[in-house]
Amino acid sequence: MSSQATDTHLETEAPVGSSPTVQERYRIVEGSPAAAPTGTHTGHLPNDIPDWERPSMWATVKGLVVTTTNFMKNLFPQNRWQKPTINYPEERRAYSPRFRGIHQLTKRPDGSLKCVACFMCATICPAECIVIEAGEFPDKRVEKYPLRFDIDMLRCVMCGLCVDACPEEAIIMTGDYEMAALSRAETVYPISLLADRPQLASTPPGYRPRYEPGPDLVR
Amino acid sequence: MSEATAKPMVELTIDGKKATVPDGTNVLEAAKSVGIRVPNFCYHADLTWEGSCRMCLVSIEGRPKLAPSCCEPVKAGMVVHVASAEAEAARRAQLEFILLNHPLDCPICDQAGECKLQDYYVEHGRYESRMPRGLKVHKKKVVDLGERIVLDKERCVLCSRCVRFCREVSGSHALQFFTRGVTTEIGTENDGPITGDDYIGNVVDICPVGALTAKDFRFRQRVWFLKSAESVCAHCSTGCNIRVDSKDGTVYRFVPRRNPEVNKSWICDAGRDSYKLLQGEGRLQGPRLRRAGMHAPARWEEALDAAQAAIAHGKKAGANGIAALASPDVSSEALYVFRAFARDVLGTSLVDYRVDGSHEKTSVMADKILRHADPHANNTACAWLGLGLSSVNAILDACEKEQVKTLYLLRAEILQGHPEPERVKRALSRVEHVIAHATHDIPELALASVVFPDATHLETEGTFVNYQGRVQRFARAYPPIAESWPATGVMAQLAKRLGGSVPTGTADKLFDEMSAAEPAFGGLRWKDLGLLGAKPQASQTVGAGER
Repeated sequence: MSSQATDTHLETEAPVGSSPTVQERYRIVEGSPAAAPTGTHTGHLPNDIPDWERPSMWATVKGLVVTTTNFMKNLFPQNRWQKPTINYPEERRAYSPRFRGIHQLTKRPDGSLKCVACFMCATICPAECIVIEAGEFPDKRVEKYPLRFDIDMLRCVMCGLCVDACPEEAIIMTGDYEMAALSRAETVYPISLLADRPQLASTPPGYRPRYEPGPDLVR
Repeated sequence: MSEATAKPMVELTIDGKKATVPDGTNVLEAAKSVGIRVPNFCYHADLTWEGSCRMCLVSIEGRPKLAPSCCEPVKAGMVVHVASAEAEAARRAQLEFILLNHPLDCPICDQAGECKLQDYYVEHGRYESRMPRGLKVHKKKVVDLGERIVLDKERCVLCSRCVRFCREVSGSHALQFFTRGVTTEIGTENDGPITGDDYIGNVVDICPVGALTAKDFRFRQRVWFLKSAESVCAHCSTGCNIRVDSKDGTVYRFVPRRNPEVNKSWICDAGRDSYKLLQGEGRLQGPRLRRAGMHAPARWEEALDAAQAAIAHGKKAGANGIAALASPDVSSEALYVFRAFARDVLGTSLVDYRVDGSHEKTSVMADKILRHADPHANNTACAWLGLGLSSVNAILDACEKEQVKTLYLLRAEILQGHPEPERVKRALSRVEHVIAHATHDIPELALASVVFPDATHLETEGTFVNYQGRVQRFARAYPPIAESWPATGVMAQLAKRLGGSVPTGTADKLFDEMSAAEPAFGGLRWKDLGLLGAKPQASQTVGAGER
């Protein structure tokens, strides 16, 4: 709808009075700090700071000890958890088996998706990042299946509520966490990426709150 | 209801509350009138009493056994206990009985979220099933019953609402009970498709569970995502009360809303499908201008400038320089603004709305149940507002004689309805400027030089007056799509530019103003219309088209 108000012409107001130049404002005032006009910065510390608050060699040494300790820890780590920097991607950190990485849509033994498009995940999702379109499945015992199942990974907050809500264990979260992409469109994962991503073969199933791993889970 | 108020009133006690209801009411309705809800599947206010589900059992003092409250007419001095331990235990047992063979389909069932069985289970039950899984009786699933209905026999609770509907309301007798005992099921003969029933969509609404689902809505959306707005069907002059269920500006279904005076609880299938006509691909996305013989998208400012110039040009040409045609499709408020616009801003008396002759058919029934032959929602309001100042033939004649320089159309769709399309085309091609408000992109719009995208009645608030003269409010379901703009706003803007003025404001303000100014509306107030509408007190029996 177009705006009906007449376009108001915004005018910048002309400066009122004369203000000090930058050089004037930040000049170092020679002589006593008291001589400096109020509102200007001076090169002097105020007189009312107590001695113990003034920079001292003791505090400098204390800080250096902390810095050096951590530097040495990083340089000669006692174990791998002490080392904050790893040679990724050759070297990878081991995460918890319950790590909540990129989602996966699991399958039945016959290879069809377990998902029945019940929208429970989309309903509970706090980020509203799941978009489902349901269709009629030829097998009348299944009845419903997702024609489209998209997860917007940029919106996803990796909370795992979708996995909790799923009545079929049709969605789980894997240990896979590499989702860098060159465009926003690529970060919306369709069924093809959620169910048949090549990385899945090398990543363990992650967050599965209610089920034990077993033959029922076809990845 | 007038006949109900004529009946003597009966006083009874329900759970310690005094209820006074007309004689002939059942105990269930009497309980509802004092705010006590009795669970039920088979009872429906607009169908006969059946008492087949036994969910509404209550104890009545002086009776040895529990009684189904839906089949129990009230008697003076009756003392009813809905919340007695005995009745609650019976209802709980009955619920378990109904759930014995019920499949665990809730995640894929369309009814989930608005299912009575689900609600009552959460209220009463919350038990683990005692039925071993292997012993459940299975029935046919996904039975295709023609164009509209899909039946799941397993989910059915055998309440017989659909059977009674087909027998009593639509008269098609399409759905029936088959076999006996635990294998009892509803269905059609040999599970064949249902044909020749134009009201069969209603069985989906009255089904308390997910046994009957609508093909049109099936799997498209879960019901808890939908936002509802109380609206009125604009598919004919009946003005059936409906609920518009939409999400993010997309309508998913029309569901009838109970209004005992107009449509009871029903709506015809054509009206149910009419949501498809009101949105989708055919809608105009923005204003258009004809430049060098070609239609091109324009900005609103440009379109308003062009319309302003066209109206100014038409005014210079004399008394018959401008003509205006309204449509009985728009709200009463838009018609009221249009009348003021035509009179005060356009300054013309060449005004009419009777393009397709539908005004004569407003009260003519198209079938035996609900539908009327007039396909427009608001012919009565057009008549009440006296918009038939001239005649369509006179306007077309003036156009053909090139007297009319500018033609203002509130909704261009009306030109499709004229019985002589060739004549309309000939006449309009001789008019220099045709300004049209339109919701849909139709071929006839090629004749217009300025096209304003109009909002449908789902996107605005307002009133329709149905064939009975009942003024009914409709609420806005979602904002106008794309760049469309309600005609009331556009006319107010044009009036401002042309130095005139028309009534402006929200629908409630416009309605109150119109009602105060126009005796046909009988001084009704917006807030008195409520959800079910109201008839003017001093109802003038002004038929559509006569004034």
